Amino acid sequence: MAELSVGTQVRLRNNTTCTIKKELGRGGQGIVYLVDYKGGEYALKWYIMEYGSAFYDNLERNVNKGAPSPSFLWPEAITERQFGSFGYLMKLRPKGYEEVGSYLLARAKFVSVDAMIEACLQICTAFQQLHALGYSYQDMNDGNFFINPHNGDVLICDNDNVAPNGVNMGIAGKSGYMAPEIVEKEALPNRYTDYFSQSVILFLLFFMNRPFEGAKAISCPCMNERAERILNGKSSIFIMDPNDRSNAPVKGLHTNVLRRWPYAPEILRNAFVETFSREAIQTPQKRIMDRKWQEIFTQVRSQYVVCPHCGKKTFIEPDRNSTCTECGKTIVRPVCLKVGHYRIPLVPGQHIYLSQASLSDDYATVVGTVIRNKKNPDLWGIRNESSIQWTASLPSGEVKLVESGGAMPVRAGLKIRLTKDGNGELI
Amino acid sequence: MGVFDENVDVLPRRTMVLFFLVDTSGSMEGEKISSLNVAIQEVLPYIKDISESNVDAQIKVAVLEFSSGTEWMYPQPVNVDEFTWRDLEAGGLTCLGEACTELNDKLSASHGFMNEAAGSFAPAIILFSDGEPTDDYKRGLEKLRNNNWFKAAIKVAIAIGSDDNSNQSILAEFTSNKEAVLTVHNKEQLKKIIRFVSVTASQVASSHSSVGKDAPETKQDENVEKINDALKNNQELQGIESGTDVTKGVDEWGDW
Repeated sequence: MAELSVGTQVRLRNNTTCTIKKELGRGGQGIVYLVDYKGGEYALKWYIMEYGSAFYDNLERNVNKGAPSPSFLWPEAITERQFGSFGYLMKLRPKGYEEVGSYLLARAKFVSVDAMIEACLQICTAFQQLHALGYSYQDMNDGNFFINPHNGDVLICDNDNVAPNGVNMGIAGKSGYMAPEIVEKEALPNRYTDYFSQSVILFLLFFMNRPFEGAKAISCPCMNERAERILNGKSSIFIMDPNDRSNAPVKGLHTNVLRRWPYAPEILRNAFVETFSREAIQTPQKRIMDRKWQEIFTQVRSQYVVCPHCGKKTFIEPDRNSTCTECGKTIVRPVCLKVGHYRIPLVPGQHIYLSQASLSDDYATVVGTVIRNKKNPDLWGIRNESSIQWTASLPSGEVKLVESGGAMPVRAGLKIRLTKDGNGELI
Repeated sequence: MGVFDENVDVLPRRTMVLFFLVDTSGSMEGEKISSLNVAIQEVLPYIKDISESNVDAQIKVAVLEFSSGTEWMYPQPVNVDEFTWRDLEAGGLTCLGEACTELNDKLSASHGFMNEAAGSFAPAIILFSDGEPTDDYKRGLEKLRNNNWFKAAIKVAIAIGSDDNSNQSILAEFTSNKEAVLTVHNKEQLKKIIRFVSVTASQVASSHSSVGKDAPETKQDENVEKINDALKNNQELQGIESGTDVTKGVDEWGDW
């Protein structure tokens, strides 16, 4: 299979051409070139392995259907078969985006926990949109994501294996990321195996250790194929499984997860315990799905607040007093807005998002913010930052309207209607 | 940043040792050994890149030369980013059996090279030889072939020249796979195959294994598949032969 030289014109199926400028990198499947296309710079992935017509046709269908969301560096044009192979065009990775591997090797670091949570939210949302279109991603691993450490913006690459759920492009994946039933050769990649891989990526980003590599991995001096399959197959044990500590993290080795786990919100810890439980390992339908993950990380974001004592940010629990991870002082449970599945601690600076106030999955648009009274900073209120009028009901039955731009007090016992699907209560 | 995120440690990585077993017998003298010295030195930066960006494993290098006896270049495997190649010189006999015995001793977690806190992947072993062993290699090889580390290892043998096919057959006993025996006929081919095989074997051996219905059963199979695909499709590697029936090439090793 021919490699392409600088200056070569490659014909595309959309009756245009692109011109090779230089090689950007190569991997097992192919070479990535920088190309000139319609006067701009793009990346061309050029296959050096042989792929049949099913793969080519699927790729062309993906090009025609377009990206599920802007988070995907989606194939934008496919080349004709020429020079003994073919390839596809995609946008270049912008500067400042780092691979997950760089984070795991501590070469890249999120500037804040907020950026890390944003990255997790973007990943859940992107895959939710991909799955909603009936696709499955199939071969997910640490090499598929580019993440901006400053704002958590995520770009997902290697979308050439994406296919309608249930259709397979004849690929294999990397152990440690692929679902146990794939490791055991009992299933082909599908939406449920994506859920598993996605949970692995989320765990890696949040806790910076692998979810199935604890004491058992360390006790195995030679990690050969058989040992890897046992570790990652259907008998795998989550390192934080509360019912089976045989694969627990090892002090001095799995330091990140040991440090972070106790500080992480309970809802997040419970979610990982659930999705990596023995039951969910055996039964793919028991795994946490994208939408649920989005909800969980939105809740986690609401629980990361400024400590009233030291002014630094810390995770708190919405149903009890918490201890600030920074100063160690007790943070009395604040009044929370209970809306849908959410419990939003109402402390100054807290935002309420559209996905919390309605059935929307828009977790980025702010509809309300907790503010301090200018005259008396000890009095807090919620400012309506949406375009919809809120109604607040007092325990007495009295109803007050909260116009856009107006505010209502943070006081337990109040009921609030944020949208027609967002009826909440301050507790 | 706070208590939660100010300290991040590098994810514990396994170690993968890349072994070069080099025949430094008298017949290797001249272009063969000098090209080999240069080619391995040149490939080390590529291996360093693989190791540095690899979340699965770090790569260490160990070199065993064998002629009338055996000698390790360094007493322990060395991290590839700290590794300095010492030029090998040729002279003496071809004690492959002794080399196998020596390697067998070191492929051990309790008293050899394979004792790593975060564990190891099976090693990648590349053997270079230009002629038949002069010792009773069978006994040493037999022991080595029963070693579990060796069984799981990626093994490739490079036959430098093809005076007859008997050396290839012996090398196939080492690799347990005919297709993992590659014959080169001149120094250009030797340089290219050293780069290609070292990089490919390092990549495969230092990563989590492939899984799924289409995945190769073992890393050795995956490596052999990749090498033989490249021999077929990569024009750069033309003339290099795989297998034990070597017929096509004419040896050109210059005058010395």
